Amino acid sequence: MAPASQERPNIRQVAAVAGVSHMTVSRVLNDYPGIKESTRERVLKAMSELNFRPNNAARALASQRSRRIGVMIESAVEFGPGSTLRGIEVAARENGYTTTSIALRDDERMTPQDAVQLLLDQGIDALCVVAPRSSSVSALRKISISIPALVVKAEKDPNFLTVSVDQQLGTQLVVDHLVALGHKDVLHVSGPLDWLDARGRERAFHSRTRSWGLRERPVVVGDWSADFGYEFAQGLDRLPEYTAIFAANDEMALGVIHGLADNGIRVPQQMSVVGFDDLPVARHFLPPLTTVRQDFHALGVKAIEVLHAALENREIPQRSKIPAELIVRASTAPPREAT
Amino acid sequence: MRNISLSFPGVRALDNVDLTLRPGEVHAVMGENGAGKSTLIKVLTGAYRMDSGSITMSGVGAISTAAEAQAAGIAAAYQENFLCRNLSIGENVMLGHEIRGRFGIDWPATHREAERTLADLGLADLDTRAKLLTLSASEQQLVAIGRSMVTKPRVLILDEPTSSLDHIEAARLFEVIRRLREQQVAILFVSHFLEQVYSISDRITILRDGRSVGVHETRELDRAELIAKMLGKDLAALKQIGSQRRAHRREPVGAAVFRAENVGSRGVLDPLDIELHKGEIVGLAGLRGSGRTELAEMLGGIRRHDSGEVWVSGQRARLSSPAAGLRSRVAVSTENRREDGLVGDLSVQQNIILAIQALRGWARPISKSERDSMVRRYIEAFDIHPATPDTLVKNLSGGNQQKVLLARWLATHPRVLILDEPTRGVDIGAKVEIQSQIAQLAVDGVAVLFVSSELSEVVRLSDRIVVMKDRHKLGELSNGPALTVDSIVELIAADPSEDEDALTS
Repeated sequence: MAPASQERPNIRQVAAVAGVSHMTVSRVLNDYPGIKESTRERVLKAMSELNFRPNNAARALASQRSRRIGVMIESAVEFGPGSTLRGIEVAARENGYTTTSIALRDDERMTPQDAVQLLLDQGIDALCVVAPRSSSVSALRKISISIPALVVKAEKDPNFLTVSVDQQLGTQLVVDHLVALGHKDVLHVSGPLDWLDARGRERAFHSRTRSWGLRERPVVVGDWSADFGYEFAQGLDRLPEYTAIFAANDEMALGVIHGLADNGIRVPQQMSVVGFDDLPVARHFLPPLTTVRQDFHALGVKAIEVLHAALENREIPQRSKIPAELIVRASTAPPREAT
Repeated sequence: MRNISLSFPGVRALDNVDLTLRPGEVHAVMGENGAGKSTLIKVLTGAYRMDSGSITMSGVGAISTAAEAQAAGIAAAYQENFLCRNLSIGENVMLGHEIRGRFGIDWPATHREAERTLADLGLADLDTRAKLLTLSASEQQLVAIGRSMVTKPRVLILDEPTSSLDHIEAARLFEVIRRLREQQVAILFVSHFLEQVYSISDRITILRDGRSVGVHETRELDRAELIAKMLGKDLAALKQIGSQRRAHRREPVGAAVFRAENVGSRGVLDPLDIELHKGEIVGLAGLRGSGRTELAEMLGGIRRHDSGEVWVSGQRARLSSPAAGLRSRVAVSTENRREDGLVGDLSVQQNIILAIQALRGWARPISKSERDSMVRRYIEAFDIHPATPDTLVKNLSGGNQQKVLLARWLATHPRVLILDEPTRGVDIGAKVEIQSQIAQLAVDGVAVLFVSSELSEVVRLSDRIVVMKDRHKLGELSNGPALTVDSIVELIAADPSEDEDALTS
């Protein structure tokens, strides 16, 4: 009951009686080396005087052995971040960890600082952040985090551990596939460029198409939604010069195919369309979508593996990128004959 | 103040402005730079003679000179630089009004009077015998007000009194202002800070382009309305330019009117390609030092490039100088309008026809009628103030100078127009006119390359945006509904380490 627990002596009272800091008490409790014998005795005496018994949760927290991983996720609505969270949860369970997750949303008054603090208060061993946008990574940098912290993102980071699905490889596979089919003019519909993955795919597309000497085309910036893809394709007032569209996710690709259909443009005969993610429904698009599969389970396993190594002070696995895989279905074909 | 008008050479600074100050009110005057606020104050204090109109004070009558204004009880508290930092606070407050006894200045009485004046303002805690320089800037500001209150004026003018003060200091100043209001002083308060105006003022007079566009009870005027009135048609006009541009936007087809391939210069700009289509506005975005200006200059023939070729309308063009550019109908307007462009001592008309005359050659002068109609057309199209062809360009505001410069290039009927920072440092009204002219050019089929450090302007005007970083071209973005200023910023911010490609390395 609450009153009883209030009366229960805590580590600070022990510290006060022994005349040492609570950190010293904590070190005695956890058998740290380098504590003077006289100090140790004073602390132990104070403990028995107060009838102090260490609280397990607090002890676990102090000794970092809760086997719990905190996950902060910026937005669980989009497919990628949501699937990443699930991948981490499953992999954590398989490795004997539990997870606690907090989702941030733009409209809530929960800052990344608050969320991290809430997780730390629950005595997590390690922090894992699914932060798809650059702003949340920069917010994270301003917080000092004393436990191992991993951010799921493709860009390397000076402060955090990172794992990700290889966005660059996935994009290169798309471009190479289209080039192999004979396309020389490809339009990229990107995600919002403050999303790290959107940026990563756009940059990879830019450099791969340059390497192949494809025509340089301005990128159309989208918002991940099928509606955007639809409105864009539906608004075309003629058959464009480009012969393929690479949408940065499957939902926009779905909208593009719908809009092209309404516009009387046939996929893939007149226009090839490629997505990214491999949504479970991507194989049921009309036509079934050629896309890039991200293995979120493998991503979760890798994240836990890296964090586990960090917690055990072992060497961190070097290769932290999960290969992406191109799934060729029916939405891509050789380009239409030039008219 | 009734029907106040004042003109400077070529500029009508105040046009029939009325201003009524009531005892015990704080009256704010709001307006953009150049709206006429400072001029109005100078007329009120008698520093400027008005051309027409009248100033009257109840119980005093007409006022027109500085001496009359002072005698009538109009005082202005200027910034601290009118104070003497090495004199004491009391001496500063009483400067020119020292109390004289039988043997010269009676210092104890003078300090007593200074203390009384400051105490009236709630500043009894200041030691009048301490040196002024021991005070903070904000306290010096309060002393300046104290000094102007020695003569017990009925009208006190505060011109941007809070511009150098922090929040707490401004709050203290406002306490002083409220005391003065209780003492039935009429206070004319000029400030750029919207929230301060709302917290202290009772009424607001809005000036725009030297005209009064409204007097309102502060509590009845909401902020958006105030802003809209200060900017006039401009805010709506900017939005309208944006939506017109969106309606006009379509994907270019066919051959480009201007094509640069592999253009670059060692140590200045990595070689890049760029195409401009007829009727298209291409924005060039990037930070300062990204190479955007260098690229614009190379494409316009102002700066040498040591690699690359340029085609205009399918013809190979050697843009070795701006004149060579003009012969290929490529016009370029640079960022430094004063150094590179306008001739201040020539008239608006001479400046406008300069380029077209040079293009035709001096041996074939432009006829007077052709010249007059051309100049008139551009003065109207850009709404150049004053609308007189003979005004010397140096007497024009920055915005109007920029309009003249643009008119000069448009007169050459370019196929390609390269504009580097055409709206930098101009007021909002001129910005609207310049932007809407650029939008119109696209409708008329000119290909425009538009460089601006203001990304919102780039997003509003461009069909397509070329993003530059560290002297190379990062990529191109199509303008569209999901594109924002952030898209450009994020692209520039992207970590280049992920760019490496297996094929290139």
